[in-house]
Amino acid sequence: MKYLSEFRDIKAIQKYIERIKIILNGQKISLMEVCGTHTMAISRYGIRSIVPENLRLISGPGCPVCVTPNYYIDRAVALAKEEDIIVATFGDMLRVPGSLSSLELVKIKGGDVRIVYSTMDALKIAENNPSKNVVFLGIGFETTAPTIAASIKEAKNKNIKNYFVLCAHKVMPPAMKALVANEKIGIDGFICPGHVSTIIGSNPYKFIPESYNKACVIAGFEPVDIVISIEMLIKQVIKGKPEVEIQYKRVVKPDGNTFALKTMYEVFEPCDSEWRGIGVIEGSGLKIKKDYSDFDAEENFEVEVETVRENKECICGLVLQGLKYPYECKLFRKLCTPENPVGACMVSSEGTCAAYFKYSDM
Amino acid sequence: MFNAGIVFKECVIYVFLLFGLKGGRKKMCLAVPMRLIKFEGVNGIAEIDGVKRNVNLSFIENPEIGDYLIIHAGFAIQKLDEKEAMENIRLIKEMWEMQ
Repeated sequence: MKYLSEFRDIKAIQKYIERIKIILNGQKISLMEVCGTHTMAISRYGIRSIVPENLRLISGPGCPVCVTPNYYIDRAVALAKEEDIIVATFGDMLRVPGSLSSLELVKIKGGDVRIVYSTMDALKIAENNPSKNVVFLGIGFETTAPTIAASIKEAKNKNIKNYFVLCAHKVMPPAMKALVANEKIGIDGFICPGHVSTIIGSNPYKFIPESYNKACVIAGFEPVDIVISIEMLIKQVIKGKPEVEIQYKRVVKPDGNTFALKTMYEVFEPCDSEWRGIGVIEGSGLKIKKDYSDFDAEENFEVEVETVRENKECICGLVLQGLKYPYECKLFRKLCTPENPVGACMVSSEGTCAAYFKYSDM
Repeated sequence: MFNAGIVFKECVIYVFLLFGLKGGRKKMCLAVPMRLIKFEGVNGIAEIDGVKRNVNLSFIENPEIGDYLIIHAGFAIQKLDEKEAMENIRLIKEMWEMQ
């Protein structure tokens, strides 16, 4: 496939790994990736097993479903139980366990929960079902938020009054700030997200080298992209000259995608937001602006939500911060599997526990 | 009595439910560039290896047939910069040839 096979060249990967070993020269360095697709790619291609032992690759909170707190899932479940509501969602949300139930269980019991590929599909469901209210679950980072903003704008333009979004969008740079400031994690540099950066560009990460003296490279998703990015990062760390570099130049531009950003900020505004296991991070979420509140499910539906409960044994919160590995969890591979997930990190296709389960022997 | 038609229909429903319920349509970032083969306004069709997919082009400036697009949740989020891709590939080949 064009522009793909070249970035999976095994000999090139081996050459880069040899160079990484030489540059590292025994020094201990920890790099964190904060994109679920990077988490999966690093596991799938076995990159963690071919880099030197003194190079620690940590997975951060890059999976949007995984960082969504239980109370949001519980609210979505409560909405799906209502007779006149159709809940539309991306597939990864379906099996995420809430406090007592999941959307999948509600669907089995007759709730109208529909999986869509795009927000525009959810909007079509609303158009085709005028007697029902359609609630779309707005989960995702800056890559997804503009697509949901576009659907809300389209609903307003077409005067569709039965389309709503239950919004829990998050933005990545404030979370990276919280992580880099946590000395327990000990991050030397970030493998910055490829597609979040496609939207926001490279400028929003500048505070990381400037205020925290840590390295940043925006990486592509193929194995050669990742090993090149690792080499760029360790060079920055070893030289003591951290900056924001773009390895994924074929897609990411310094200013990002201004059309998508404009749409996103026309409909949403920043707010404080809770991340599962990390807590509330200032300015790390997006909420629907007042001008578009007619489409805000939070504003328009009152439902009774069960009391939030968390499984005490589940360590998803620590895994999301890179403080624990999935195999350090008592439930991992025993009670918590992709078939019967206990924590969100095992459910999502981008989750760290799912990646370790699928691709790691540990 | 055994009815192959009914059994086949039930198998189809089972497979549909299985994949439907397991969340077959996930929105994980699709890093594979797809080629734009047709569009009208903001609605286009992109293709890779014979697989075609509807794509919304609202976020793309001046889309053209033949553009390679990065697609996320049904929206094209960027055109692939072929010049930069070729530069990447040149550097990889250089590395490959190094002793």
